[in-house]
Amino acid sequence: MAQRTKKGTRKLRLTVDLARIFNRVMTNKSPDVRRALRSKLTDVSVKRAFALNAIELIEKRTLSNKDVNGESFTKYSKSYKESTVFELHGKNKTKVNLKLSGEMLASMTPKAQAGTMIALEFIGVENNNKAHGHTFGGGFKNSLPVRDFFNLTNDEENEILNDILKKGSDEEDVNALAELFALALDDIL
Amino acid sequence: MIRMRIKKGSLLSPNLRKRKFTKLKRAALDKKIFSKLSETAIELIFTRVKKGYASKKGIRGKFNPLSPAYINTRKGKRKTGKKGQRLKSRVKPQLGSYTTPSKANLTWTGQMLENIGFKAFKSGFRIFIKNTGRTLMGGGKDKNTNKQIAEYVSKKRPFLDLAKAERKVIISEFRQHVKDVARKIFN
Repeated sequence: MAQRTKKGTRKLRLTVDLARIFNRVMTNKSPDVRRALRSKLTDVSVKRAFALNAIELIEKRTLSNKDVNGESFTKYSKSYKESTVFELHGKNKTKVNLKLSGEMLASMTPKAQAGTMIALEFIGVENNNKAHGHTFGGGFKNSLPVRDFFNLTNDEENEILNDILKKGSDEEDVNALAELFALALDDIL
Repeated sequence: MIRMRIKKGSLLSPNLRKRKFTKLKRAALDKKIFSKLSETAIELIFTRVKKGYASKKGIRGKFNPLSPAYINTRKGKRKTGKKGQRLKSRVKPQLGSYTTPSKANLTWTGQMLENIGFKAFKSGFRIFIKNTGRTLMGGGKDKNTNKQIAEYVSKKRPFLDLAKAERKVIISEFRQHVKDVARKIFN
């Protein structure tokens, strides 16, 4: 499983070592293939593709009301369901997806790391604190239940890396093009 | 409007770079996606304003508080307007949704915020306040349109802009759309 900063640390960060996942995934390959593929792990495009796919996976999983263990999130409290903010955003009372305005999930971003490491973080103190609260629980009066969404299981990590190494440049291209379009939209907004 | 150019040293493989880019550009940029994005943007602006937050040049902050005299008007303790033309008796005004007399969230009747419109193009979108007529709280037609009211309130309480975090929501939705289209085309 990916390494996450511990409870109490201000900055919530998820660190993934691609080399560790690679060793787990590529057990059946010949040494030559392994050597060739391993050299790709330090490649910026592969690391970025992994990070973006991981963000996409966490977001999709969270929006479908599933935590990192595949279980449904704890239901929203009665007072929250009856609040004006809840009504204002037109949220569904039974669908727990940690999405009010969507800012927290949208602020998940990759952070550059050395070697084969990659990290995921939240942009902005408010989003970081929100995510921290959901991940470890707590909040004012300790009323916020744990809704663990910010992590990756071994299977998820394996799947993402396998996809990137198999599809190779296609997946990298998809991510690179999506980034290019996103940057262009960022410019005009 | 979206203008893109592939830079040298892009992550894309050189052979397919140009072809894929052109193909994707044609498929991913359409009115439909920008209509969807504008609706999201309107929803974000609406909820932010109703919560009492302004946005200027991407920075989000609380709206300036209402003056005590205006709060009294909203409570029904004072006649509206200098000559008391709009409401002749001291009745409690029926304020719009999600507001209270002392809350600064640009809501009196709520008509202005319900008239945020959009225009989607093939390569972008525009959000504006519709130039539609208004009904006065006491009945009758207002001489000002929603657009004029928006221009007036924007001077002290700017709101028709996307905050940084809101941009991220829109960009994230757009990035996802491009990825989905790209996967359909390339795989």
